[in-house]
Amino acid sequence: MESSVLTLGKQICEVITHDKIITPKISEQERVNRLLDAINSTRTKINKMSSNVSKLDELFTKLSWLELANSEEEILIKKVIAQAKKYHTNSLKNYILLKNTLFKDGICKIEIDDYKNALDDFEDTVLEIEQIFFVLRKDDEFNSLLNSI
Amino acid sequence: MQIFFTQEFIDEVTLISKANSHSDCELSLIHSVFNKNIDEIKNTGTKRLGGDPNKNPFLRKRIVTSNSGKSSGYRLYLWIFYFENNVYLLYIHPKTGRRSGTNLTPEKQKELVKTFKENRDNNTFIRTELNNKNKIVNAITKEEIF
Repeated sequence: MESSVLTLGKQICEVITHDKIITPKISEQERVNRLLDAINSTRTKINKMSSNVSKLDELFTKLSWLELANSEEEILIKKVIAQAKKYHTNSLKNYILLKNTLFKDGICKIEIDDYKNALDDFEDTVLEIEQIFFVLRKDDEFNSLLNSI
Repeated sequence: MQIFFTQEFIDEVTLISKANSHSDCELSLIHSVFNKNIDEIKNTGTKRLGGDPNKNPFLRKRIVTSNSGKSSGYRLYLWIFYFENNVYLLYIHPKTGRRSGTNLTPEKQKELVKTFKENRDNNTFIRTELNNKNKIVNAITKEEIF
């Protein structure tokens, strides 16, 4: 095969000239849309987590309207409270992660704040339920005061 | 439904309301207590600390503040007497801010029961109502309380 500077130069030019620019598979608009979809999906997930925490709060609040009938129920409630505290600790870690990532970038700020408020209220409720069942209602002075009314 | 305050409760609300962030305390009480019926008061964010749930429960209620959204709000301690259709407000503290607090200690809660009993025995509860300017007033003298 003839090989000269001229032919090689021509071949090189041909390759360069005919090399097509690859269009990105994802256009800039699609990229933005995908990002927005991801933010919306995250927003929905955070709202769902807040709603779960609020639901738990509501269930714990309902517990306060009942009395523990026997030691079996007492053991169950102690177990539930322990689980709730663990759940709160894990959720708080989740919140911190969200705060240090998305929140910092200004994404889902309202939802993350709402999540924290729901967690704070939940913690408050769990501690109060523990106090109601295992301190207040076991306190003879408190019970005698209530009976005097 | 009749709503009663203790003097201690009035003093506490007055102190709380001095902070700009809690100047809505009276409004929040109106929204959460005065504009509700007994069942609504009982069924929204309310825990029973003690007392008979069907006759005279001693309660702690979460109040959402009217101007700061969910992040703020108050914790209200009250007593409901169904057969009298009476609600007695005993203590309140904001969730956040200088006068905020977490759950009251058992000792403080016992103190509230004693305060309730004393006021009831000595007939020193102050009956309140709303006037046409949407302000809480003494039901007898018609003087604005806050």
